[in-house]
Amino acid sequence: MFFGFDEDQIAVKEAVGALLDKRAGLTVLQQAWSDPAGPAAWAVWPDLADMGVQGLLAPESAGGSDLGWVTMTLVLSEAGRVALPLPLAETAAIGVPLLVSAGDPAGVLGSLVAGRAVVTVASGIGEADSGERPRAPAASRADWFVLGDRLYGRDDVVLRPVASVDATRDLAEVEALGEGLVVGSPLEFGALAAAAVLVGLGRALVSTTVDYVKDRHQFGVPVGSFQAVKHQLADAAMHVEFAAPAVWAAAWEMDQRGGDVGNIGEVARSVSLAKALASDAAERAARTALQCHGAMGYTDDYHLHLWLKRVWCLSPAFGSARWHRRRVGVDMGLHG
Amino acid sequence: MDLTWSRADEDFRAGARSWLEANVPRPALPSGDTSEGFARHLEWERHLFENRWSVVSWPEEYGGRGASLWQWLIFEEEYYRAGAPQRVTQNGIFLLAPTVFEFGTPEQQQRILPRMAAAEDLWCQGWSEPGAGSDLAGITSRAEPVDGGWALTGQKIWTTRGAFCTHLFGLFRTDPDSTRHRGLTYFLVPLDAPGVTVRGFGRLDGDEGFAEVFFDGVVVAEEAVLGGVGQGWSVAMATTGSERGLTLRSPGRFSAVVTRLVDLARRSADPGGHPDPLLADQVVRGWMEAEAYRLFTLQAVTALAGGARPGAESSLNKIWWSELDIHLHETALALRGDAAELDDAWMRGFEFSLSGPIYAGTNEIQRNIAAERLLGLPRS
Repeated sequence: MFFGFDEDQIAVKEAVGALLDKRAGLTVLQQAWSDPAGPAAWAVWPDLADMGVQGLLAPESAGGSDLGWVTMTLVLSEAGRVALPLPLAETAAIGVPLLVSAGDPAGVLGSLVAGRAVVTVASGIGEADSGERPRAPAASRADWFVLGDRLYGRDDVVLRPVASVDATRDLAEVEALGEGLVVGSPLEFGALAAAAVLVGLGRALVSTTVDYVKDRHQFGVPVGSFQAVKHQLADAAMHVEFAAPAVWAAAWEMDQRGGDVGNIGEVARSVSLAKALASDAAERAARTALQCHGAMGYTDDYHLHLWLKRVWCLSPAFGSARWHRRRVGVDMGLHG
Repeated sequence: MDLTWSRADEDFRAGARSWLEANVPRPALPSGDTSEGFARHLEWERHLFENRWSVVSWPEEYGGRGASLWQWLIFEEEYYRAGAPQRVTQNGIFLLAPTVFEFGTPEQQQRILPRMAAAEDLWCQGWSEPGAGSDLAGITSRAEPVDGGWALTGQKIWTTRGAFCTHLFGLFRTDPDSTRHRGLTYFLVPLDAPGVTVRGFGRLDGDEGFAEVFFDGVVVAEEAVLGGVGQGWSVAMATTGSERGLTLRSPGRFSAVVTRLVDLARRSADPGGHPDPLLADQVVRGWMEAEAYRLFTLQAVTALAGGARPGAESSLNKIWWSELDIHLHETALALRGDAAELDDAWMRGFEFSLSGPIYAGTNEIQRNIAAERLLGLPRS
């Protein structure tokens, strides 16, 4: 029994974190808000590929490193920390493993790993109105679209841009024209990847709020010295830190199954555990961050909203907390 | 990362499981917080000791098995899975013993630990006072030097199982000019010493699980001091790390309650054959929070096994398990409908769970500690 990370995993995480701090910092994020498909937002994409990030789940024969899901989720939590406005989860943690397990029917794995092609995923779980079409982020730049359990090329889909609360999402409704290629369901990979990003977002929201309340003075003292503020932040930190191990554990289980989609049902409970805890924790962190920032956080020229809105997008993506609890409840025989 | 158990750990689990299956009393014992129930629990504790299951993680010379922290977790998981009795010796074994191992002289260790393991000496905690609960540093009970030792004067209160125990470990002020955390000393006191008066009183659930302990010039020897005169606060804080963290509340406790809760939910069907979907959601939430606690603990034990010291994150632990315990019992009572009012195991468990956010440092104090020491927020 060893619930920790090895040196290689920590080294990859730190290297990617340093790259993102340098090349995908706040300025880039703000540029992505006004031009999500533009060169500024996407400048770090080839750098990530050079570092091997898109190939973490690809075999060496496809130019990947096959380092696995534990490393992948650590990296995705770093992407969450900086609110990276790019479809890294969709390409590296959904598209790549789906294509690996499907035998790369379109022959695109190499270009994904090399950073020359982009996959996005249309989810559409838990729609109130089933007449709505699934939507995918990074729609202007994606070369490949996963819709249901199939993969479509850009020429085989019709896109209708729709506004997301998070303008960096570059969201569009996706309608498939052809048959596509069967690659398998993106649900388990997507839920685990989103959970990892949400842990990073939640941690960033707590730490940026801690910094703010130490600095912000009212009544002659830092507002962070008030118990009403302290207790909210202690709770937010607790929920994020109890969600994180569930994400790492689900990633480890995914690795034990070799990422084989055929056996994914066995890890479904662990994935649901990770996603439900991470969604709830990140939403709590977002509410707490906004409340503790006061009116400062309720402006769009202060950067807090970029993290809040990403949480609002990813918390329901690939199944909300409630959706995943229900899935486990069905498995336990508690629902009809 | 490797979330599998070693062969040796699996063997340890199998040994614990088969012994518990053959030995756990049926039907369950009456509450250990009543005088008749306490006697039955003592028999059980001594049976555990004779079979070397009372203190598995202690060295063999003191009656343990030298088990690793991992095996301790496994034992706890099996213990609660088997529905074995609550541990009436736990305040000694889990709160005092770690402090004796760390701060005790060899003489104290030899004198105290084997008798504690054997449930010959039964220890209760004497920290809270009428005027010093959350504000523990406000202690006014005092110890004055006398020939060959100290004379203790003052009052302790809310002492769990104080009326049934033989010894008390507590904090007393040895420096009359001191305030707050300074000038306190950690004492080990036999409750049959002249000048000690113990008065038991009922808890919320009606059991006589609490006591007030009065000290009226109680003379104890120099050897009654644990960890040095004036060092009481730092010695005591080492014990709170144990109390709030791993040692008092192993994940196995909550996993066992979750198993019972899921079973209850399956039997609490509406005419359609399933429980209220909102309650089913709360059941799954309980399962998830118990799983999160188990995984968080595996992560923490990995750090401890690697040489880390328990730190302020134990405050988060304590908030999590205490609120989880209430959630599990509230959900169970909601599933029970109007049968919730019956004075049965679920109601008893619910009443006990309500003490969790209060004892061992209220959750408000834990949130202060987490905010100040983990997050680095300024003190008020």
